[in-house]
Amino acid sequence: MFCRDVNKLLPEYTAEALTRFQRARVGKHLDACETCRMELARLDGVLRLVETHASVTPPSGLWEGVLHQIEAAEAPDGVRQTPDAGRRTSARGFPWAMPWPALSVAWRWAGGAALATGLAVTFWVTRTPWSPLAHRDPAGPARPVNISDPELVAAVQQHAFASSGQLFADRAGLESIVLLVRKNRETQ
Amino acid sequence: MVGRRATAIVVGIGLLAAGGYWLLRQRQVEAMPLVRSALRACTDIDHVVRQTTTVYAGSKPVRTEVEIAYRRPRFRRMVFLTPPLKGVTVLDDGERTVRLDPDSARVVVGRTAEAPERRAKRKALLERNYLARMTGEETVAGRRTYRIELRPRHPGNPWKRLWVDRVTKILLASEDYDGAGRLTRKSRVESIEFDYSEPKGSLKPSEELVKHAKPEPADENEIVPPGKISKAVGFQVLRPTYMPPGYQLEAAFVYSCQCGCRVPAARLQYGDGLNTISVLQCGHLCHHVSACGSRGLPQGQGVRVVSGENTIVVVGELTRRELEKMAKSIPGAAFVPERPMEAQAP
Repeated sequence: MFCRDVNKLLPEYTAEALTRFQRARVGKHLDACETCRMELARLDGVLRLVETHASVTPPSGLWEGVLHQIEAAEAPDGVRQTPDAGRRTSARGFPWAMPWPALSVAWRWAGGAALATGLAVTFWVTRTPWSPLAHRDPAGPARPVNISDPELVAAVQQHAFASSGQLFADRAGLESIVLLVRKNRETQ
Repeated sequence: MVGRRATAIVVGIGLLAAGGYWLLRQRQVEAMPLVRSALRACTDIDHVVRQTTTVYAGSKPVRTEVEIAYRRPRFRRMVFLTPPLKGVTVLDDGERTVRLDPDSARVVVGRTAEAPERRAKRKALLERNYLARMTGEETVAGRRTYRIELRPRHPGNPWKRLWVDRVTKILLASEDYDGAGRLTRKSRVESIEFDYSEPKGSLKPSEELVKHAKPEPADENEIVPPGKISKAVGFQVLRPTYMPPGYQLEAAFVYSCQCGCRVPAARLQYGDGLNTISVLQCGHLCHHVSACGSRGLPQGQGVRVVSGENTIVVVGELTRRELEKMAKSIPGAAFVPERPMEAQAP
């Protein structure tokens, strides 16, 4: 792995969000590369600063600066890598220079790959929770905001209150529903 | 012939090698650890955001701009900046929520909805009932974010799409979808500041303010153990025997019935880690009792049934079929779906 690749992965590495395989690869690189270890320490330091030192205001643009530093990290041999250099390396070995007589076989491969992709897409569309069709019920009822029934107003308020305590709750959105329903009721 | 076959094999191996190399270079990110980090970051990092929030209530979306200040451990201040809620301020100190409305010159105080003691259980439920997947990266408020979808393992349950800051893991945008797959709410941070100069006291409601507040009955929620709720409200609280997959009973509350009588009523709260179903119940036939059925509400849907002397309203953001199934499972529930609930209101 190149330093450039590793540095791109450091935010996920710190959040333990990489797969075990990729985490091991990054870990192995970090064991051998002091530059990347320093980059990791710098990232950890910035996060600790934000979380613990409440009296310090980070300068504007700090976060973007950190990201730029990660992007412009140096290679292990000290040579600064350009994006083109990485691209050249990744393209090496790819059979662009394939002889023309082999193209028909390649097309067969391509056809097989397209078929497999089609089957996978069909499976995704029909079977998995990620499917865009899995959760569709367009014939849902309208969402009225003018409710005259005091019991239902209470139900909306109580339910919004209960929902606002949930994880990742959109507190501002739920508060605005409660306030809108209340205002509408008062003006009726 | 042999030459063609050899070329095909070489091309195949080349394609596989190129594909494998491409895969190795890709970022293979597991989304659930990022979700855990985002949950932590929301409370661990002091920051101020200006965001737009859109709720799809009524005939058109209602869009408001809000400034929200977060300060550890659990202080939060929300100021609505644009009509129709301009000037409304909501303060939350982790125990009480205070709402100040300059138009009506009214201060409303209620118990805060977030319960730290239920947080660990909700996290476990979230990981059990939802699949997290990173669906891409986007720039929100000038910052790189992961776009993550939290889709339910049980189709028909509501779900969310989140945008999580790549460096700090703070939540910068979200979209809420109901069980039918319709967008119900969305919020997006327009700007963020890690501003620590805010004095701590400005995020905490003053005692003077709280003393002059007039509590609104609908905001008073007294939590009681679910086993003792019937004794607390003075009537037999009925529970549904069917629950949508993934949901569990979280807590029971006492509040004042809003039909005009103001007698104690019960609210049972069910959760699946991310969403809530509320079952509101009073021990008498309210004056709308003849109007049962289900209808859309500004948030989710409501299904009203009666059982004996009890009037019961089930509210949630699931599909109507699931909510009706849950309401019908309440022992003795009588359900008249043809009649709109407000048709016979006096």
